[in-house]
Amino acid sequence: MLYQQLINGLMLGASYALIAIGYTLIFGVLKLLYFAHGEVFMIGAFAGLYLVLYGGANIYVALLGAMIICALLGVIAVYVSVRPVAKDRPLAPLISTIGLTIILQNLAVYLLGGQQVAFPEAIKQELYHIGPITISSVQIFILGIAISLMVVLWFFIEHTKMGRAIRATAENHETAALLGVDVNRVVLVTFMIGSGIAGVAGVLDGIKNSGISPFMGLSAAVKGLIVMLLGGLGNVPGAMIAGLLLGLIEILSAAYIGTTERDFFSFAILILILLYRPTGLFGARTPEER
Amino acid sequence: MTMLTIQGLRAGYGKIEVLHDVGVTIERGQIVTLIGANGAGKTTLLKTISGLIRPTAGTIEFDSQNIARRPPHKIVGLGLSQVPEGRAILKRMTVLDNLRMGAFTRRDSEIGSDIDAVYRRFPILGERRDQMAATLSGGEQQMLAIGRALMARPTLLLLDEPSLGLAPKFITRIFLTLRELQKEGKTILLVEQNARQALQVADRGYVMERGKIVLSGSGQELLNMPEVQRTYLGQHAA
Ligand SMILES: Nc1ncnc2c1ncn2[C@@H]1O[C@H](COP(=O)(O)OP(=O)(O)OP(=O)(O)O)[C@@H](O)[C@H]1O
Ligand SMILES: [Mg+2]
Repeated sequence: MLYQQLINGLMLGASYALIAIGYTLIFGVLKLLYFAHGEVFMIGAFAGLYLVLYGGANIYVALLGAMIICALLGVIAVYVSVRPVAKDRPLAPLISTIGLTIILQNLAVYLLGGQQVAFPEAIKQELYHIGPITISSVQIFILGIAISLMVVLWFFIEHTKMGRAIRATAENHETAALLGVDVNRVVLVTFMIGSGIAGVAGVLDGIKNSGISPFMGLSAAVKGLIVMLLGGLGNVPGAMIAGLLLGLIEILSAAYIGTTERDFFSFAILILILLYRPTGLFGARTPEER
Repeated sequence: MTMLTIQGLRAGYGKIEVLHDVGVTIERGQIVTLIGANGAGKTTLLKTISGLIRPTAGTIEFDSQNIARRPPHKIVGLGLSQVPEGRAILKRMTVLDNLRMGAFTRRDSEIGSDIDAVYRRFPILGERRDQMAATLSGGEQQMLAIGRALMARPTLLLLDEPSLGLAPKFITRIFLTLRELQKEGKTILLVEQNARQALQVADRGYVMERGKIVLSGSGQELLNMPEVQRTYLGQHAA
């Protein structure tokens, strides 16, 4: 039973982590709470659904397609809601991305209808028994994709030239620019990566819950934000670990403390972090500590 | 041969003009120093040269191209790098990653050997290569800032108060390094409050007051000028 709950917790946590990565990457380079991120996640889920339903795509193509569509959405978000607004007014981009959130959600309801839509069975359900654990092919698939994506992203951030440029920009735009980094380009790439990952998370969520709706963005956004805070603002590995942790806590507390309201624990954790560890469990990476 | 010619430069922050009609010339291979009181506009001038601030008028000719109004990331690649005020080390990155960032605009295969050359120049950086830059002392961070700027293989190096806040031992080391770099063929523009030492190493000096160049001459000439001695060297005229 415990093992089973651990797997469920990891599954839930992996999707939290994938959403939070985008938030924290974007927060890192722009110090911006990017509100539309939950809607990007929702659009990713629908992009995957339509690719499977009408495009006849297999699940890998659907994941890749959703990733690309959401990455492009990230580019659009930069051009419509980040670049045009004043940089020296911190609230301006916050409000413009809230505007984008409202537009995206209404567009989705208008185009897709307000109903929950069933996600087709994209992977053959099979059950595997490993000792005391029973794990399904779907669970293996979701965990496998999520964890590989995180490993690839971690490698990219830590060990590639672009990854270093993103870290440098997150520390200080002027310094990065003086070293030859085109900061606008880094911002664009960061939005593309964060949004692309959110798109994948959306599709995985559709597969897991076998249903998606235009309103799924909000709760994903809230969980993503909690995870970002828990992991430390701007801290990418922190978001990964905190996401998994939050998923585990929610599932285990619901299973053993016996409430059906697992969100209660998320919000309790949020309040505790804000009170006792505002820099998150693993340290924030935001203001330049000079 | 002239390396940098600035003429009629006006720049500032928003509507506030800080630099008023500034002109500076730097010959190839020289150490040129710019001295001036707090708030005179020295940092503003360096930021304008490296593209962080867009001038409202004037030209900045580097290697006979006008670089005024070019974005900063394009200017580094031309061979002009800066050691910013306050060092601007990337504190959450390792020493090695800071040096790699210095070579961001390069694509050649000699980056690794240039990193080794920085470690030979400043052995402490080699010992600390995998440490977060935040853990370095102020003097070590200054060496890292210089090493990082050199990684771009600049022909012109701008330094903004590299001796600020350092112990005398480190200050001596920094000035020695500047002499070495000049011997290696680099051209240097040094902003300093430590006017005496700066003028002693400099081939040429400029004095800035309230956004204007008010005096210029060889380092020795400026050292001997009574007004410089009174204001910047803490002496009374003989
Ligand atoms: N970001 C900014 N916004 C507005 N005004 C600024 C800004 N930075 C500097 N200034 C103003 O511009 C003027 C020149 O500042 P600058 O930093 O260039 O002086 P400085 O000669 O480098 O001084 P210091 O020796 O103290 O470093 C000052 O009056 C300063 O208040
Ligand atoms: Mg200054």
